[in-house]
Amino acid sequence: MQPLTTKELEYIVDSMSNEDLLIKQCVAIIGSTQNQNVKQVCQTMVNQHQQHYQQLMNVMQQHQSMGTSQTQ
Amino acid sequence: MQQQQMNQPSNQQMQHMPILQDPDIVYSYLADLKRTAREYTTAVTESNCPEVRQQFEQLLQSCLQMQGQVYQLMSQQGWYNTSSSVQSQEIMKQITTYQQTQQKTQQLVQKFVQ
Repeated sequence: MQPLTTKELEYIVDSMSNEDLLIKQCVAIIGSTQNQNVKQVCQTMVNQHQQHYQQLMNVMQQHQSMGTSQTQ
Repeated sequence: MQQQQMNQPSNQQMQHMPILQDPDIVYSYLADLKRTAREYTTAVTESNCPEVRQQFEQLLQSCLQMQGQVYQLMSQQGWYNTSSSVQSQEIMKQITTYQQTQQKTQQLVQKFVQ
């Protein structure tokens, strides 16, 4: 495992923003639709987006100790 | 006066009607899934750490699967117009053209590559 590059960290946090938005969109759909098919699909999607978010969080946590220290 | 009030939707009725209907709101979700898949692709190709790359690859795969499911849902609901099917004559034309391309490139390969 190698220390995260600046670029990698940016992609990770951008992806987390994306996943967060996708969760909220699914919740909005679930809240507004009367269509049971749509509701069901979105409910499974919420869980998956939450898992994605946690996986990205784990990547940051795993690399945290490898980061360059501020005081050199 | 009374009549008019009956025909207009009351304030309360308006509030219960979502501004975005199902097809629009699901389409907007689908569009963001597609955008997220593109961003995961960029992240994969620009990762340095092999473990980070692998994680992005897995997230991309999962994201594409979800996009496919949402597309199928929209298609089943009749919310998506697929583009018209192509005529077999048009396919035949392209097959002929690209068989010629293949042949020419093959000759080039044979000439320069052992």
